[in-house]
Amino acid sequence: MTVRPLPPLPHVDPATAPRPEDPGYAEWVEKVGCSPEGIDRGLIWASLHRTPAERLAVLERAVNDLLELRGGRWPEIR
Amino acid sequence: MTFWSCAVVAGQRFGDLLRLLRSHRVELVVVGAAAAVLEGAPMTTFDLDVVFEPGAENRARLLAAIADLDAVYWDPTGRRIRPTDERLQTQRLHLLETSLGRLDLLREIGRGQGWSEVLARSHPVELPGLTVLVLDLEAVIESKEAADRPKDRAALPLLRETLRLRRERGDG
Repeated sequence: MTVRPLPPLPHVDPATAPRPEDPGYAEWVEKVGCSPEGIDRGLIWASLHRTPAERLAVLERAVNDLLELRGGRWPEIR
Repeated sequence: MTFWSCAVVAGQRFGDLLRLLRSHRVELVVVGAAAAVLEGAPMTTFDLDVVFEPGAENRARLLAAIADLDAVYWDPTGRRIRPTDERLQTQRLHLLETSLGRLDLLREIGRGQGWSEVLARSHPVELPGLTVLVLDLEAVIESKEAADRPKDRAALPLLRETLRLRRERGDG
């Protein structure tokens, strides 16, 4: 999987954006970076800059890691 | 005797599942959470949901494909019940375990949207070695709204935000 620089979120201008030392920076990050429901826009933005094949590969790895975390595959009663 | 065993030895292999189905020329549309992921939503799902074209020829191809996959119904009692053409014709939903992972076959989604409605709201997506039809994200959201189970409602904020950012990006 290639690593590509991610463009800023829509309507965010790095030239005018506040910096960590500015008052209200953390609140600004939360407001811009998350939806009102708390959904991380940065994660979505990164996913949108992947190809469908890359997304599917990530899903497959994540699901199989979770299955391994459960101590195996799906439990089945015989 | 009752014991715990590995139902799906190979784990969940979404791409290989789709390749196997397409190698049998099964006409299908990827729907549900897997469609949402292909459309850019960063979420997880443990199964592949597809709506299949319900005609007799496609059902025959589908049965051949799922026979290759050694598919049985996910059955909490452990019975190994295999899909049949009669079941494909009469049942709306088939929750299957296969050698390549979980596969859910659907005849319709949302508020009774069948093959033609699903097909009309799908688009081709290129994956390594195949092209699959995937339900538009807006239609995935509508199907989740219609299903209205707790897990569907929980997914909606992420799906709606993904759709909004896709539009901001010009992806429709």
